[in-house]
Amino acid sequence: MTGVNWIALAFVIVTILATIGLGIYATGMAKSASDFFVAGRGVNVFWNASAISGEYLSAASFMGIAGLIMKNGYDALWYPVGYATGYLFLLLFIAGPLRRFGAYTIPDFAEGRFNSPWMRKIAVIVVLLIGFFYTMPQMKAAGVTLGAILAWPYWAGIVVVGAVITFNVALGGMKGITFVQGFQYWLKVFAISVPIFILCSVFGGYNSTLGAALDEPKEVPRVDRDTPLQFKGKVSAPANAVSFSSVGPTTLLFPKGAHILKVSPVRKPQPGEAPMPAQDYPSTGTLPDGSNGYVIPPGGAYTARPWTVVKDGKPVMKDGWPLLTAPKIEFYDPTAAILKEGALAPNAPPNGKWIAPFGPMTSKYDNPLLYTYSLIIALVCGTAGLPHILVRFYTNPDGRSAKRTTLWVMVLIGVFYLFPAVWGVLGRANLPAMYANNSTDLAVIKLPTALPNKLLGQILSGITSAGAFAAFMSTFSGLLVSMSSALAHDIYGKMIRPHATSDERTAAFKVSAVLLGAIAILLGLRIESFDIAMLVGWAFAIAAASYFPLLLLGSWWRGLTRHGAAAGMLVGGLLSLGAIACTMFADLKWITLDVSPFVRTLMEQPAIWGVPLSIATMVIVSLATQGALPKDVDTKMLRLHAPEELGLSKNYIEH
Amino acid sequence: MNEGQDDLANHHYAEIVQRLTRRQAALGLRVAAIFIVLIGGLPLYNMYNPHHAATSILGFPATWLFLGILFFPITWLLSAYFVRESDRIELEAASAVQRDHAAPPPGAEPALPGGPTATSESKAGSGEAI
Repeated sequence: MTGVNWIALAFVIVTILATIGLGIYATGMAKSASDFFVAGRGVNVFWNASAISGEYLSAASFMGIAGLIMKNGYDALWYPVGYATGYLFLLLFIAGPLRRFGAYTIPDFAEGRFNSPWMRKIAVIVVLLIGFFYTMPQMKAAGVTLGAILAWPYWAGIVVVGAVITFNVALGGMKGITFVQGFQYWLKVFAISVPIFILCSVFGGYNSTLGAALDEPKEVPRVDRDTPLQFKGKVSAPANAVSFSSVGPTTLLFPKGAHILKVSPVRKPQPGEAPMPAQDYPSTGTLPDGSNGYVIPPGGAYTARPWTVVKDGKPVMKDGWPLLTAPKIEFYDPTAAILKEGALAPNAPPNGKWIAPFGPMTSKYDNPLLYTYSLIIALVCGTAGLPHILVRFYTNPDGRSAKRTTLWVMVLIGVFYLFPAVWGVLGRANLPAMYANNSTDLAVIKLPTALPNKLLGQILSGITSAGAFAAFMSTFSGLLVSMSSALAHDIYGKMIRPHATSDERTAAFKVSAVLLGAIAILLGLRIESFDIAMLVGWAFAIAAASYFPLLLLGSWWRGLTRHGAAAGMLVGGLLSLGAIACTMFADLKWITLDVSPFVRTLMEQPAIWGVPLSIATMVIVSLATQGALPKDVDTKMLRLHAPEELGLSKNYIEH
Repeated sequence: MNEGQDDLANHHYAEIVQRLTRRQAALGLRVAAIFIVLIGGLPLYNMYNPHHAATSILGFPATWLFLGILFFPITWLLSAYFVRESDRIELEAASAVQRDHAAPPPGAEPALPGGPTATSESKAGSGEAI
């Protein structure tokens, strides 16, 4: 966090200018409203696949996965696997029919499939819900990346990046973006792969680093030099907490002293267990706001020692060993500290828990298998229901090329997803200080700076920063386009002024983009303490319980009625959203959730009940309202499935 | 145009498309089943065979190697298989329609102006391309 990385800044500025430049260049080609919405529908398979991949590989993929794998190990591998292989469901059941139906957006599909304008309204609400959830992590990535490069405060990065992208979208529309997205895929693959090969040649390979961790299951990474740390204050809770390792004692030096809000055991004491030993508390004192806490004088230190958990006078055993725990401290205000050379990295799980399945992430609430399955369902089904990805399928000339495009997307993003895990593994071994700072999301930006050659480190960090910018710029653009289209095309163009001219629609699109961009920036400011990949995972869970059932049943089941589809989307989507929102508020300590670990797991990962609930609601309500089937339902089913050769396909919107 | 499409729905090749839809669904479900067994089986394998899952292969724990690296190409193969089979099913249906169109069965409604006639040419073109 010392000073400005000028080289990285230069790379980032070039990326931003290239993105805007390409956008402006492409605007010359975007003339009619139809160009704005789906890029004139004639993009070839490979370029369209690059563009979909470029749009899909968000900050969650570029930064978040590496960070989450560094933090949680094996369990976090489900994220890249789910993000990539979710396209299989899209390919098998949705890509072809959706394109053959020939509508611009998902709300078009929802209305066209059921001849029902109010289905469009419901679909628009869901577009906005998923869209906002997905933009939050992009905003976080922008804030922390600029914070790391420029030493800017979190909010400044969000405001600057958000404004630049919003401006670009309002100016260029989607044609610009198809073009820019394809370019950005290749930029991102370059930026995630080339630096890691160089880092592996210095730090050691993917397999040898993992192998070393596998051989020492009880070990925790240690910092290899005196490391300055910067802790956050209570406004950033829960990111103001440090959990010490139960492997051995850890000492933190506080050159300017520290105010500590709370000291507690990492492992929540069960009834009957002895409390934390009194000598492990720092000296009590008065915090700046007058409340009681702990105060460490300038130049003071705190040593956290693990202790054996004792219940009824006997040590608690786990897997044949006495169970140890250690203190966790929560800071009152932003605090500088120094971790001495050789110290165990706080917040880092031991190798054995990190490298094996069912580690800290999925075992958090003691139901690891349930957590894992629910996460898999969210990611796999959610991919098939993301509005900003689905809209791109309309840019294929026909259903067959839509399937080819999906296949190519799987290959392109699959290649990309091999790399974030390597970053996570090398980050753990070589820059463990990031655990202590709760800044593992910055692994791809910071790891290169640990190289002995500082210049090379700054250049590589510049390349990954450029990739990160490409990532959140492209995804945020795509989301903004689909959300603005929903407002401009579906609300304004279809409901408010059905006879609006092409110019009026384009103006409505621009106004919508600016409005939505502003809301996304405000939301992004609130979520600094969440892991980027987790946030995106939640957007997937909501998509999985709303759009996925709509598209799946809408494409394949003749009997789906508008009542069934609407009920299922709303029940699944809103209940999942509610469960996730409660989890987030509880993590932020705005509310307390007093529920069993089983229920807590189901709330944090709702897909395992959300998806079946949504599908079941659709089926039951549809069966009860069969009288509401559209009269031309057979024609619609034909149009969804008939190959183009049969001459049934007719674009829902003619141009 | 809407009325024309309703006629199409009644036209005898609606049956061909329904058959095609069923075959596509069966193909999709078959591929999905393989995928679900793989991705759904792995957590169970990890849970009940932790020692096998942790076997070191070239330094990687076996389950890490499978999930972090090998799983991606496996899904590419499944997708490629699906795209190939799905195209084949569609081309078969298209040529069945073309055949029927050349010799309409007794009682069939007259072909729509501009509909199947115009598209049978484009199909011949795309058939060669594939």
